[in-house]
Amino acid sequence: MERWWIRPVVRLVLAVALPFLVPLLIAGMIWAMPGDPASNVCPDCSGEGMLQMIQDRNLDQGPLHFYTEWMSSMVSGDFGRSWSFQSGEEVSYLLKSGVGFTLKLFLLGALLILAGAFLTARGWIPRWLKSGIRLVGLLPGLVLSLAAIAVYTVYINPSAMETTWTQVAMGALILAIADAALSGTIDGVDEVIETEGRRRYVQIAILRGEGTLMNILPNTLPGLVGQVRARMLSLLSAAIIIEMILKINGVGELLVVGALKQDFPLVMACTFFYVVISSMMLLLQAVLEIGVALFIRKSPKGVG
Amino acid sequence: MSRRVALAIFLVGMAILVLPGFFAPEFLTAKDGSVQGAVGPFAAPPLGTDSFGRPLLDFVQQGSRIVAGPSLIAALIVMILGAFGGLLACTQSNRLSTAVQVIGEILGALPRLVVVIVVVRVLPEEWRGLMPIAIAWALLTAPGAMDEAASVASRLGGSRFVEAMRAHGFSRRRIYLVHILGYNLRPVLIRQAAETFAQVIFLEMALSYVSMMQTDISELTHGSQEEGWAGILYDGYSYLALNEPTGHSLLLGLALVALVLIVVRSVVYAGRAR
Repeated sequence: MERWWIRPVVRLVLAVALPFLVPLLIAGMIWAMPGDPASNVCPDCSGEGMLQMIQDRNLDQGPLHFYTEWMSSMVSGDFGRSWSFQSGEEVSYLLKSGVGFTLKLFLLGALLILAGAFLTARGWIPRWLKSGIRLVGLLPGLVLSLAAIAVYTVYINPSAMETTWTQVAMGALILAIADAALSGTIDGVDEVIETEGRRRYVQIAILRGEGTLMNILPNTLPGLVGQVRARMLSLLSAAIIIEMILKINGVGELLVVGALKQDFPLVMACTFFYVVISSMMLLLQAVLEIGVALFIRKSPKGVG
Repeated sequence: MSRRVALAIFLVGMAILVLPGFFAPEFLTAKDGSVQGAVGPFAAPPLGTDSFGRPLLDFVQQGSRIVAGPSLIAALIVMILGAFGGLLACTQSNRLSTAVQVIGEILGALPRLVVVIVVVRVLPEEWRGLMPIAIAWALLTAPGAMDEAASVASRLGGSRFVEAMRAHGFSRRRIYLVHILGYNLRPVLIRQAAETFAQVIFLEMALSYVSMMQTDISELTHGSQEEGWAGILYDGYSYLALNEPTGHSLLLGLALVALVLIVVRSVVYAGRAR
């Protein structure tokens, strides 16, 4: 028996550790920058103001102190205050305004990808449609986003500053289609089903009048889930660019602007948000893999 | 289409993408406020000008200089690490394999663009540019490439394949370099490298575009005196949204995107298994 448990266990451990590790890494990076963090963050500060700023921002006792202070506040829902993006504003307030849009964008995009995987598995997507999706999927998200924002600006809502459902829906569609996200999922599912479908146990099941999908699912589920998770992770990255171009006021926009303005509490909070989503997907994959391995593959009634 | 034709298309495409970078001007012509609008390629050959009277050829050349090196290095990193992952699956080094799996899982679990943005921001000013972004992107992409290469090698038989070939009298070097890398892993490695090449170019365009949209922040991928291919698209966008005479910029930007895609598809086709 191969050591099947290594990957699921690593995923489980990572899923728990990542939300704590990544902020620590960022804190370490702030101190790894050349020069001291305080002058990097506020080059024009000096004297009393500088000392006050250093203490207020927990920059006086090294990266570990900064990290532990941030973590202990974060646990109580306080992500600190913005340093430069909207100086003094609570990061949790900024984050709250963006999380909804990012989650809608990501979940809608993910839903389209999952629907694509399901329909492919059932064999319900015609070949011509697959070719069409493949063709559009060649285009990068940037190009499709530019086309979408142009259409939106000219024909739909040229003056609105607030993010609308139309923007989110457009973004989700681009997220799913661009950069071969959907076509890659369809091809991946097709390949897995075709390869597994050729195996003898599936052929025998078909002769017995059983369906292909239900027979191959226990064996292919971990692989399929792994594929889908990788796609979802790519969606998270792509969503940042799409948010910026389609002017969706989400976490991605906060992250980019926060990073460019060296607003580290904002960067840490946004990164934490992305890492938590990634961890949840890791956890789901690990639990599924372990479940399949323990309860299906080893069960006397199971496959394999 | 034969593989030779695909290879020829790839080489010509790469030449068009990479060579202009060697002739790129050090700085872009300053914006001319008196210019009334963009001029098309017939009035200002060979590619026309942007809305500020700057030749688009300069944009193409500078963009080429910005993306060529980093995207090729990123592709090379993914190819080398992918090859390592594939070859590792053909050895019996379980501990190393487990360690690589763990590292791969850690890197693969991080949202790439988030890491790239954070990494780039904390780098010292003089190190900033597309190269660190490309290297970070390649390192985060590599676990996927290594996984796929390892899965191909495992389907081949892994260490049993090597033993069988040894029994036929082939040397280890020939088995690893020719049979495993050359005949079996080549399509996967070329595809992964080509995709990374395109991803880095599109990432540069996207990040530059985003920087241009935010007027109060500095460029992430290149110096402030340079303009990449995103500048062409940015100019061309005015044609779509504001109906300004910059349609030629839009077409040129899209042509560059198409060229990158053609280069990727042709090299993948040329490198496919027989």
